[in-house]
Amino acid sequence: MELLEIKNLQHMFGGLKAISDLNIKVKPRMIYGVIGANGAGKTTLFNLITGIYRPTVGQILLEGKSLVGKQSYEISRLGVARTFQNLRLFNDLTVIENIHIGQIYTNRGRGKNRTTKDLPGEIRRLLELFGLDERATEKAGNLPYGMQRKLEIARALATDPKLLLLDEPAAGMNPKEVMGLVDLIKEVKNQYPDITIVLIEHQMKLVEGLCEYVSVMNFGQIIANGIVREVQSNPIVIKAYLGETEVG
Amino acid sequence: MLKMKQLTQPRVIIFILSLIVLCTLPWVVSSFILRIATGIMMWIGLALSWNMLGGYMGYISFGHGASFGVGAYITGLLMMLLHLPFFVALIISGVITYIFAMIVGYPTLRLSGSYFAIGTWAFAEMMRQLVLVLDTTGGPEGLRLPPMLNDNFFYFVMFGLALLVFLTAYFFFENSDFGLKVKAVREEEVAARTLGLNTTWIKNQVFALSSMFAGIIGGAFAYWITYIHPDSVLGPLIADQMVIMVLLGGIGTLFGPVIGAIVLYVGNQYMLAAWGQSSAYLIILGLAICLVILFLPEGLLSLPRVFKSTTKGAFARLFSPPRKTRI
Ligand SMILES: Nc1ncnc2c1ncn2[C@@H]1O[C@H](COP(=O)(O)OP(=O)(O)OP(=O)(O)O)[C@@H](O)[C@H]1O
Ligand SMILES: [Mg+2]
Repeated sequence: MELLEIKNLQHMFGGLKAISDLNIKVKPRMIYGVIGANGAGKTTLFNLITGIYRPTVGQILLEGKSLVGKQSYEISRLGVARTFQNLRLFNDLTVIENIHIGQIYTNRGRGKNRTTKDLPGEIRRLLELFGLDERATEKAGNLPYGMQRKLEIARALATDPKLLLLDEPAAGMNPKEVMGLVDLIKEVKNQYPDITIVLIEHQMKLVEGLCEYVSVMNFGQIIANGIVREVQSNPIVIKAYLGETEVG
Repeated sequence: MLKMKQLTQPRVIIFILSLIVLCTLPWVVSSFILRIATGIMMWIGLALSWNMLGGYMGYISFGHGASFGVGAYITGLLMMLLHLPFFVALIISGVITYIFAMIVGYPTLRLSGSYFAIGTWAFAEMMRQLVLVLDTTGGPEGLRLPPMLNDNFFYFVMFGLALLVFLTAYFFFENSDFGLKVKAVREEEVAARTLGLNTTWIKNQVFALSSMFAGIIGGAFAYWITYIHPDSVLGPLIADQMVIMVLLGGIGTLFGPVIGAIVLYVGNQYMLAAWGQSSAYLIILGLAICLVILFLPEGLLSLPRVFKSTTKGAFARLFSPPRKTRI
């Protein structure tokens, strides 16, 4: 079964069609890329999946169960976690507290046969994995930007998700940091093999390095699907991207 | 929560010793000082209750006085009309303000920032007008309660209530997952929701809990003062003072509201004794607030830290733009 399936999704902001007739299928344990020009509707797609907006039309299914109409917190407890394009950390709280808040509902309220996790151990593991252990008691707002991005991923992982949505995780990073992030996400996947990741990205380098499969969005629709190499040479995609560079 | 080992920690010992000292107060000070101490206890409780909502959760309310007034009136009415004993009336008014706040919170907590501040203020004003026109509440004439002239009794009631609010803040807001959830709402509500936190429920609980404490304290105040009227328990100055005390002492901290309440209440009483009823108090109050927000945005509690830094640092801070406050 698909882990995430989106059917005929449509979302309007007043008269603006931000998402129109969108279909996506994501298989379990995949790293799935969503690329597209500015304003294509990528973030809106994440906001719809996580219940921040309610779609005008369409279906969103997680393991066959509908997410439409559910509150964000319910969707989170069903196993969907995310990061934000513009960081949304708990700035005045420490790194540990940020991660701890992510954990509060991990051992509760999801299927009965889930193993109970050792939460303090899990915090240590996340701190180490993301290279945050030395700054664990600092306030999140005082971390350098790159670390804040990592902390947001760590906090999302702390919810023990089935599906992890990353919205432009490399935004604002320099090329060296981007390569570091590619390795980091690979390591995350290594340590949490059951997780499925969908990531939005502008930088092709990151997508090439990580994703098995990508969808290209333009004006709220998916204009191409496939493995990265194929999509890159697809004339429609090239046109959409070149069109963008001409304008901006 | 509390283990034997923790009981022997220095700060726990200091805390218990100060409780003992405070318990002996009625036998060592004059009744004038005791009445001031009672007032201080009352305002410590109120400031701490406001801090749950405004400090830990970041929802600045200018309507918290309404809960105080509602609690005062309900206690008064229960004692006068139904002849209930004081403590029974007090508990019932706590329950009623709690439920009442759930109802008020439902629409107002959808607002945030200054809209929430204005919404709560408008609501409190509405309550005052309502009490002014109702017959049962005595309208502008106010309400008289059965007189009880026992300073010690009221000192211990207010002391107990302040302690109750203090311990609630300590255990539920400073040292628990619930407190972290509340702070998460303050820091980033949307992110909190996507991490599984039912923010609507959390906000309603905090609003109702902090209102309940203000309501109970209001009830105790009514019995202490024995005569209440709309301006004395539902006037805007009550909520304003809670806000100012917390800002003065240090918002979102445990001891900030305590220090703010002591400083402001003592200052207020001193001016009252020195100059009688005058508006000088309000002017000085306004000035103090401007200074604190500009130069000491984290309140008096941060003073030692500010002093510790180099003179140069303090000097630079004096002339640097103010840091963000949570208003
Ligand atoms: N809350 C909103 N209200 C109205 N319009 C919105 C809202 N959010 C997004 N939009 C519009 O919807 C369209 C899609 O926006 P979205 O943020 O999803 O794009 P994106 O693909 O994430 O772009 P970017 O690469 O810049 O992040 C844009 O035209 C945007 O202006
Ligand atoms: Mg976006």
